[in-house]
Order: sequence, then C-alpha cells, then structure tokens
Amino acid sequence: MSIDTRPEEGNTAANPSRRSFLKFAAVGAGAAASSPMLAGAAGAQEAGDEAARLVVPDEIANRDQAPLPDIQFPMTGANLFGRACALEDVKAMFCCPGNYNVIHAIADHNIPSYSGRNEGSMTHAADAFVRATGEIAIASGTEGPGFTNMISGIAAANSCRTPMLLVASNMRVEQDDTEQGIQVMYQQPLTEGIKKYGKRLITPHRLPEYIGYTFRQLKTGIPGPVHIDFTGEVSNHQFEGEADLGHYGSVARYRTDSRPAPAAGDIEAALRLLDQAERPMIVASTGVFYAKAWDALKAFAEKANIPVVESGPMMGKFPHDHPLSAHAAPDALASADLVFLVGQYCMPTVGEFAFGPDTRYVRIQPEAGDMGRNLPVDVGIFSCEKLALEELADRARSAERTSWLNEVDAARRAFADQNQSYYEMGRGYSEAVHPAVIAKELSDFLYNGDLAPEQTTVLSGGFGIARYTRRFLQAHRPGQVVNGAYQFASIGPDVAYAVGVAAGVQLGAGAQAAAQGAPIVCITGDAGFGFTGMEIETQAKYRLPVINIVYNNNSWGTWYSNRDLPRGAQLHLFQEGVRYDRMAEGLGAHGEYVTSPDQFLPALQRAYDIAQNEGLPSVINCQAKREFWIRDEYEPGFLGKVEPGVMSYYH
Amino acid sequence: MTIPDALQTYVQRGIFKSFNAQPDQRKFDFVWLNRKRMHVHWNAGRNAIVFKDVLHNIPARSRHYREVRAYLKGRTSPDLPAHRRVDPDLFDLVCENHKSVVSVGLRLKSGSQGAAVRRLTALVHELFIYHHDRWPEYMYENFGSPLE
Repeated sequence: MSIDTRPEEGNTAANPSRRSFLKFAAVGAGAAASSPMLAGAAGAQEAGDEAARLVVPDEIANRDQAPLPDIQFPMTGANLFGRACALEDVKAMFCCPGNYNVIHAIADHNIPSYSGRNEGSMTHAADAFVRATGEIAIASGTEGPGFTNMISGIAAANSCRTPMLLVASNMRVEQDDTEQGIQVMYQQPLTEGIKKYGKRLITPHRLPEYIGYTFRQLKTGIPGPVHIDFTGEVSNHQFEGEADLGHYGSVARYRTDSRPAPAAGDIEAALRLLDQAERPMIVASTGVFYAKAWDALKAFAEKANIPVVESGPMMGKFPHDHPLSAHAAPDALASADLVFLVGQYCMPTVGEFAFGPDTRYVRIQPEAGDMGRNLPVDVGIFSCEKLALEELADRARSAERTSWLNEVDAARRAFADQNQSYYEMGRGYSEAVHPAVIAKELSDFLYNGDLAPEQTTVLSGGFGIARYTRRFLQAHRPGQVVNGAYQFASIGPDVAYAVGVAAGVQLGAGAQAAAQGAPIVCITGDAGFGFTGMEIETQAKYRLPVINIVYNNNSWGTWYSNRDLPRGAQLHLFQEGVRYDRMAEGLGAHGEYVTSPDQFLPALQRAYDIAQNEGLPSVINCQAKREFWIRDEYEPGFLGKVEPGVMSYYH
Repeated sequence: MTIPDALQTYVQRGIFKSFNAQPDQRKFDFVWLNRKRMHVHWNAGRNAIVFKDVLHNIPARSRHYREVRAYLKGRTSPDLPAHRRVDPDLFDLVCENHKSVVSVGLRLKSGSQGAAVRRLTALVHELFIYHHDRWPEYMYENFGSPLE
C-alpha cells in the first residue's frame, strides 16, 4: 500500500495511513549496511502487510557469511582473473547472470557482488560506484544481448572518464563466423570510440599478460573504461602454477604506482601568471578526485587565496561551505582573469564555460596528449594533479585578494537570493509540486536540519528537475554528489546509478568511507524512471537505503519545446498520474505519493526514517505538472545553466 | 591599439577562429561562440563598433527582447565591479533590432579602441551566458545548444 497523502483521503503527515514496508527489527544505518542477513525470510514473516510477502532469499541476505572456496593452482583462467581483481583491490562487481565462470570467480574471491535486472543498468551501477568512491568496479554481462545491453553504460562511463572494468563472455574462438548455436559476435568493434582500452582474449596462456594491460590502463593516466571479452578457451584454460604467469603474477612487476611530477619550469610559468593575476580561480574537476588531490587543492587555494569552483561527474573535491568556494557563485565566473583547470578531462570548447574571452588558462593533467584540446592553453602542466597542486601550494606566494573574494561572496549571495525567489514562486503553486519546492526543501533537510551536512550522498539526476535541484545541492566531502547524466547525457540510468552509489556507501568504499551505511538520495524524473525503475527491486533485495525522488510531470522533458506540434506533441506524453510509488511497493520498497507542496517534506522525513531504521529504499512520487516549464504561465519556467559550478552538467 | 589589432589578439590566443578582415579594415568576421560565424563592423564615422546581427529571431516587441535590453542596461550599473561594467563615461551601449535580428555594440566616447573591443567582446560573451541560463530553449533552437 502506498502512503497517499492527499488530504481528501484523510491522511496527514503526522498520521500516515499505514506503512507498507517490512517491519524488521530496528537496525541502524550502519547495521543495515553491514548485516544484510537482517533482511532474511524470517524478517519477512514478522510483517503483516501485503508488501511483506516479498521474501529476500537467504542466499542474498546472508551472502557475506557464505564460505569462500579455497582456490589454488591448478586454476581456471576465470579464477586467475578473479584472483587478479582481488589483488588489484577491485571493490565491487555489478552484473546479470551470464559470463558465469568469470562472475563466480570474482564473487569467490570475496569481491562484493551485486546482480540486477538488466546488464545496462548494472553497467551504470558500476560506473556510479566508481564515480562515488574513486575505486575500481566491474560490470559484467553475458555474450550477445547481454553485452549489447551494456553499450550505453560503457559510453556514459567513457564520457565520465570512469575507470570501470567491463567484462563480458564471448563464446569460443572456434565458433567464430559460424553462427553455431546463438550469440556469436565480435564485441570490440562495438565499443570502438567509447573505451580507453579493449581486448578480446583469444590466446589462453597470454591471459596474465592481458591482466597487466587491463590494470595498467585502469590505474594510470587519464582514466576510462576498459572492455575485456573472454572467450571460452581463455576462461576455461587451466593454469598449473605461478610459473605459468611469468612476471605477471606480481602487481609490482607488471605496473607501477609512480606518477608524473610537474616540470619546475612549468610550475614557475604558472606562478608567474598567478602573480600577474588579480582574479584567479581554480576549476577542480575529475582528475582531482581520482588523484585524491583534495588536500593539496585546499592547501594551494588557501595559501594563495584562490576561489575554487567544481566541475565533473562527481562533486565535493572542495567543500562547498568553504569561504573560498565559488561553486555557487556563477556570476563571478566571467570576472576570472586566470583559471587553473585541474584534471578537467572533459574539456569544454570556447564559450561553454562562463570564463571571459580574456581569461588565461593553466591546465594540469597527467597526459600531455590532450593538452590544448578545445581551449587554448597558456601554461600546460603535464603532471599528476596531486603532485602539481602540492608543488604549487609549496611555492605560491600568499595573497590577500580582498576585493576579488568580496566579489565572489556577493555572487554567492545573489545566487542564493535568486534560488530563494524561485522557491517562493514554486511554493505559491499549490495545485502540484513545483521543482523548486523539492529542490529547496530537500536541501534544507540534508544540510540545514538534523543531519550532518556531510552525511548524505546524492545521485543528482533527472532532466528538468535537475535544473532546479542542482542549484541547491551541496557537497562537503569528495563524492558526496554524483552528477548523473554528465557529458553523455543519458536520461534514464538514475535508479541504476543509485544502486552503484548506495553500494559504495553501504560498503564504505573509498571516498564514501565516512558515510558508510547512511541513506542516500536519488533524484530522477518520470521519463528516466521508465528506463531503470526495475532496479528498485535490486535496491530492495540488497537493502540499499535509497530515497528515490521521482519528479512526475506526466511527460518527457522534451514536451515543452514541442508542445505546439499538432501530431508530434503526443509523442512526448505519458498517461497522467502514473503511480510509480505503487510500482515500487510491488518491488519491495516503500512508496509515497505527494500531490501538493506541503506534503513533500513529511514524505521525505518518513522515507528517510525508513531508510535509516530499516535499510529499505523508497520512491517518493512527486506529482508535478508539465506546464511548470512554460515561463509565461509559471515563472521561472524551465531553467538553463551556467558552467562550471553548481549547475555543471556537461563538462 | 586599433580595432583590428585588438581583434587580432583574440585570434592569436585561439579564441576567434577562421578570422577574415575586409581590406578597408572596417568589417571582420570569425567563428566564435557556439562555433558560429560572427560579424564585427567598425563604423569610424559613428565611432562605433558593433557585433552585427548577433542574435536572430527575437521580435522587437517580445518579452525576450525587453529582457535582453534590460540585461544590457544592467551592465552599465555602478554596482558592478569596474572590470565587468560598461562605463557610460567611456562608451554608449548600442542595441538595435532590425526585423527581429539584434546587433549589439559600443559607441566610443572617451574610451580607447582597444578597450572598446575588449569590453564589447566580454559583453557579447556574457550575453550568451545570460541566454544559456535564462533562455535555454532559444539557444537550442537558434544556436544548436543541447537542451538536455
């Protein structure tokens, strides 16, 4: 049953109709994360309502307690690969059944493993896991349609420069070109242009060598997805002992953790520009996250008094409540006369960032081959971001920059005032839930209420709704906000992304260590929900405490710009009042249906309590109206964006 | 610095691409924002430099055009920092709408030609940023910006 908070049905925030979730023994967020066994069949029997008929099998609930096989030589190629993934500290795998030898070997090597409802969704989940944690994850699918389902996910990961490992099975070499049986195809040509590295493994005894290629590509330079497809000959090959591996049996012998350091002359050139600048700014992007360079970034920014704005597929490399944060100060961007682009792998073209035509650029990244693409560079520093920032922090001169910092502060206040005015407009529309209401009240709940502002990780997705929520979201620690669609602009992966983010938080992996076990928030739209909404079942079965906020305006986000087409407009519409909350309940989650602005916050509080206390996901179905995008009827209408910063989306 | 020299600085830095100058050094064109070709006219008689026909499909009596004019007027506000402001003591703002095609420029008073080019180029850049923020559907329909 849904908690339908429409007043005419007699429900109030204080007295909801009834909770339709499994009534497990109260478990704290941390306990929920570390003890999936609490969600077993026995727990389900305690619940007396309709949704409690869903049973989480013990094999899922107790997965962490299952014995690990003792895998020794001789071992299969699949097991050798699983062993290598464990040695390389791969943190998670997301898959659908298929590629059996490999996924079972990975699970048998104690790498946390999750299966979902679609290989594409699980590829998105792996991508988001990496973007939230900074740690490597695997996406796996079977040959043929399993693999082709993954293509959109690898393309999105490529745009994000995500070091994700995509593995897929691929029949046997001896079947090539025969169409014997089913699902015979070449995979690598289909991922051409959307991966950093790929290889079809066809020579069994060379598997160890390609394990080396795989992890060198994942762990050096500008990151990106790696696609390995396993033929049956390779995954089933028997390796007799360490001697079969050569030097590829040791991580330290097939790759190095050494990083490129900046040339002294380049640092000096950058500091000369800094000395001449009046209004410098740092853009902290993807490379800062993967290089774990946030402490060096802070040291440089604070020493030289340089405001910092963020971009990229994840936020929080620089805390948004820091006095030097220019993340929510879009009007200040055009004033910057010198910009340090740090780890900005997805480089905008001239004019896409709001910096003015007279701005000079220092660019820092660990591959020189990309330097100067799209934007002219005044000084290029070929270096690991962390090493370059440490050097700059050591050698930069202290500076006051009072006037510039005041300007940034004024821009920050002006932006906050504008957002407040949008909220007040939205609050005035009582017939449905305006996106500004969701954005502002969610922000207050996360950052200005009872929760520690740095606690909750957010998957920021959606189409039109994102234009509002992004303005209000904050990141106080690395990876606290994951920018869902980012450059590839996929509309639809959000619920699947949330699986990956929530898994990272549940495990406390990498950058999410401090948030381990806490509920997360996923923001999406009704169009997006249609693509990956079935992964609510994945969230529920793994007890991932995700609060999925669905902005339901009965249409694709494209409707408003096509609404006047006599035959075409209907192509952009759905049925009105679709009950995504009820669908979620059928999949084992908690549901809320919110139809007026005053109902949103109580529903959010209930969903949060359920997530925190019982480890269950929720769907808050926010009934909006598509006409909210029409400015002449509902100011401020569909919003645009300014990059970089809080509205960053593409770069 | 003359108008052509000032424009050349952006060519040399890679901001303007595919730059052309007519022999009389009065009309220039180049590829810049949204990879669109833009046209700059220098009218020595009026002492004015103009980005000619820079925005299309904005009717003169529309809300959009009223907001564009208000935005541009706001760029002369004394509340703005000096590096962002069009100083009325140095320049007059020019905004003309001919058959829904908008041109934006500066008429020089006491300001130099080089300063006029820098100020106007920055102003047009900001005008585009303003449109990305406030009029995304216009940028989608007229400049090919993504709507996503």
